[in-house]
Amino acid sequence: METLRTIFDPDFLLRYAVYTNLLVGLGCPLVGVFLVLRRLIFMGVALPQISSTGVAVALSLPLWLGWGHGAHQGEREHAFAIIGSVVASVLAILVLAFLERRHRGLSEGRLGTAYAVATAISILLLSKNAIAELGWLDLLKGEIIAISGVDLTATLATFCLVLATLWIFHKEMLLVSFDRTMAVTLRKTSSSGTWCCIC
Amino acid sequence: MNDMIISLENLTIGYDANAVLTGLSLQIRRGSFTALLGANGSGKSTLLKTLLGLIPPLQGRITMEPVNGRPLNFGFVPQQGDFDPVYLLSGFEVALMGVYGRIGAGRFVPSAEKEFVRECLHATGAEAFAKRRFSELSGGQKQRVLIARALATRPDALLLDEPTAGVDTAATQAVMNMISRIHHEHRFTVILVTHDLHLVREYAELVIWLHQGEARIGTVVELLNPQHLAEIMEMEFR
Repeated sequence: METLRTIFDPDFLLRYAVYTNLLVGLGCPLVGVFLVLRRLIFMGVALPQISSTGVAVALSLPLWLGWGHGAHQGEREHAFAIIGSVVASVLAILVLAFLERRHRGLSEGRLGTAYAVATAISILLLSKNAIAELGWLDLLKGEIIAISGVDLTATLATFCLVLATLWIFHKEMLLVSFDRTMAVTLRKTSSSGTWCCIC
Repeated sequence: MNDMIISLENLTIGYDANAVLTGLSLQIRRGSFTALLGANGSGKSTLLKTLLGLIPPLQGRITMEPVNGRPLNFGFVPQQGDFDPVYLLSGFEVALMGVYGRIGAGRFVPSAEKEFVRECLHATGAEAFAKRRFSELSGGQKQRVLIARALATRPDALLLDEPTAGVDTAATQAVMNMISRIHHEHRFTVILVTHDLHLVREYAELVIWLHQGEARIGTVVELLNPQHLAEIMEMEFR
């Protein structure tokens, strides 16, 4: 009990990390259940890896474009990492959804390929970059100890977005997951399709 | 009012660029009972999926006559084995999906619609087991729930993909009698995919027999007479 009180104490240095973990712990299962129902659990492995690759690409961009030395540039580096992660994840989801709709190969094969390609790109980018060891590895591996207030706010906003999406599109997501054919005949795929792709 | 509900003109269907059926032209009359016959892989399900808009036709044209100015509403009954048992949904919850097309995102299902779904379950004789988990129902019970779900969509046409596959004889007869009764009561257009010639002979008016990329179309009397059957069977086994 004493430990718990210490963790939630406003003066505790890592309290934002605890709050963020709680939000992630509450939000991920809500979305994850649809991945399990749609037999897309490998998405949970492939997407974080693709997101990491997005971070690696975003962090490498300033170096490639000659915008500075790239190591520890504080807020700018941070913003680049988030943008890279979001862009890579959304692009990957759209490409995977497109291939799914075109019935190209098996979903496990597509996800496995995406995972392997993303991992290879990350490793190549790290090995090509002389200063990659300076903090990047922790970011790419997700070993984050301290969380800023902005990150906590962003996580809270994402959590609220997930809750709102599930609330608004629950019927549609359930229908598309359970019986896509019926969803098409009821013309329910256009509004919910994107969200289900995210799931 | 046009008596035809669906018209196919020189239709070629298939997956990607591979044609399964070519040059298919036919008209399906409003309120008719049509049976789709053919061996495995003959294109029955492909034709059904094309009609439902799941796969685009490779060539030709499908015309669907609007009903009261709105697009045709399909009630689709898939094979009962198509569903993942991992879902913890009751029969009622599965049947309730039929009304989702009329309810916007973020809105609860109104009690009037729930009552309508109960009526559909009653009409298909599925009311007694509607509270049980869908995955635990028998084949015949699942089919009744799925037909109730299709009825809940308030369909203009009912498309059934082998609704009695894997169902015992008694349940098959009960399901088919129920479909026939609903067809006569509501005058839905029914398109039934089946392998069962006995059922076709008993219930269907028009028969579409698919074989090696082509279709033979005729009435039960025209197509299911001994001479034609012998000819078709010879073709099937050749």
